[in-house]
Amino acid sequence: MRYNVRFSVLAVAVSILFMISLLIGRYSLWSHDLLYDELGKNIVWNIRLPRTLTAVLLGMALSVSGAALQSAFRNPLVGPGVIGVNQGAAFGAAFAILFLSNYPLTIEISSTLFGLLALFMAYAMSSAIKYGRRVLRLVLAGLAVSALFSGGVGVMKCLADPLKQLPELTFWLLGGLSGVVWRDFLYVLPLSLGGIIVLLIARWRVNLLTLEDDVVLSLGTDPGKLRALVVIAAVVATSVVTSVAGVIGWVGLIVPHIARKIFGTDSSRVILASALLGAALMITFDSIARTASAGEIPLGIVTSLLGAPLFIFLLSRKEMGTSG
Amino acid sequence: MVKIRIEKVRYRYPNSKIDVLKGMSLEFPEGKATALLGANGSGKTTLLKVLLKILIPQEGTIYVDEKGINEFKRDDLSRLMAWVPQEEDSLFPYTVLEYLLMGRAPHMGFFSLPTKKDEGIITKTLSELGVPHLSYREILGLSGGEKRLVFIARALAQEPEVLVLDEPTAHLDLGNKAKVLSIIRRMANSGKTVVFSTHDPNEASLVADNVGIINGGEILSCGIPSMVITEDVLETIYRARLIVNKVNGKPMVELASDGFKINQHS
Repeated sequence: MRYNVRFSVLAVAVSILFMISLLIGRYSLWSHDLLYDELGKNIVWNIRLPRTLTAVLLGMALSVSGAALQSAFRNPLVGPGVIGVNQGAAFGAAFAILFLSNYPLTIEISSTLFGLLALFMAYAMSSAIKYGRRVLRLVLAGLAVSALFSGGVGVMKCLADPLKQLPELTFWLLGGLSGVVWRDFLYVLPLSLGGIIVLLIARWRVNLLTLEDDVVLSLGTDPGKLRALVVIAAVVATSVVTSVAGVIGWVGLIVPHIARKIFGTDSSRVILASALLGAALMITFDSIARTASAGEIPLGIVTSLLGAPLFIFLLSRKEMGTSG
Repeated sequence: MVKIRIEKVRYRYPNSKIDVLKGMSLEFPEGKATALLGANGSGKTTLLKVLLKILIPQEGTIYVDEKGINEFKRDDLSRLMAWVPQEEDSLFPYTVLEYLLMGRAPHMGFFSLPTKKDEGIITKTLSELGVPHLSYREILGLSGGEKRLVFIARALAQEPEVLVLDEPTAHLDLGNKAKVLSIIRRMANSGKTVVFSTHDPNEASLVADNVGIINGGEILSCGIPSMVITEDVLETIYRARLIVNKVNGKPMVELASDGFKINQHS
């Protein structure tokens, strides 16, 4: 099947999943005529639509960032989590909930700043590491930064008021979109969409980062500047959605691999396909999270429970998409 | 046609106490193939990277058509000069066509996608190199010789005036060596300025119009192969006894039967 056809099929699938997710839930709207159901209209407009749109944004941001970062670090096993960004953003959000205010914009700004801080710390630490090549050093530094902020989040939990703050913090850390309203969506939309758009329009040039830096220079592109653009766009997009959805693992790692299996290696196709696949997967996971049981299952748990086996399944298949 | 000249170039790697290039001066005439001949570690690759502005020398200047290299923007330079590295890690399973399209990056806008015209140039380049069938093969599955041809094809896709190749025949069998050397000769004949490094004097003799002998970061001598490839010079750079014969007027080198003795005592 030609790539254009595959993209069209995927876009139609995302649209169908989007519509289905608006109709299903504890108050099912399958058999309702929305024109005459005021309650149904209210639920769709005020609860499900902002939530599903946020799921789309979340899936796109994590997946597009994951695909771009894998090329930028020449490592198919890199995701926003590996270079410390997820935990940095999580720490930032926890810090805001505890010490600033749980106003969404405050959490978003704190989360983004700490996500970027984590990245800069990883960069700074990587130059001090005397083992391996530059990209490996950055990944190692990212692991250390991740552990550091993970410890910081642990401290926040100890400091949190066990009755007021701790439940909120714990549920937020498990990740989820319950309670997301239009205000949350509109707060995260500009920055996360901005990051996604930068990665989408630079998606072909991201290919160059998979080459050695000397070769990239000889092709007239400064690999340092291109990598910085890609990484900052990815970190901003990821941190911003993390501020509203909590820590959502696996998606940023798995989706680019599925995209490579269907669309080949060229990052101009992989990044675009990751956006669509990420949206589809996140709508599906969130729909499962809110409909599978009587209570809401945190989205982070659903992505881990379904993402980990899916990852192993992909790894166990021949021609995984990358040899690395 | 483009001429390159380097003048008193000194280069030292960061955190090193030794100059790799010790004030080198050399000229690469337009439309000619120039070989940089020297032993392993003599500074050949460093010199090539300096030529391409990948490394910036602490002293000295590189002139491209008498214009200082620093006056060129990087993307302007990449349309003028292309680089074929000796080895390249390929971690992602691109098809050859996707991989070669990256060679078109200097001719594309920062946020543009490759066009049909770019694809046409790649197809034409692969045909000219005699490997049009490789287009849809995965780069990771290619043999050493095929990979080297693909690296050369990517450089040619840049449509450069100057082609810079680092040990282009290293680790190749004789058939692939002959193929790569004939491409170098063809490029020079078509008016491109070609610079390539090698540690094999016979390759330099067979293909190059000029040979620059590099020893310990300095230019030992420079000129046409029959003038500079001599037993004295080779003994200095390789620290082994070598015999130079003339075949069809070109110097051909073989190891002397007692050449090992010098090596052992040196």
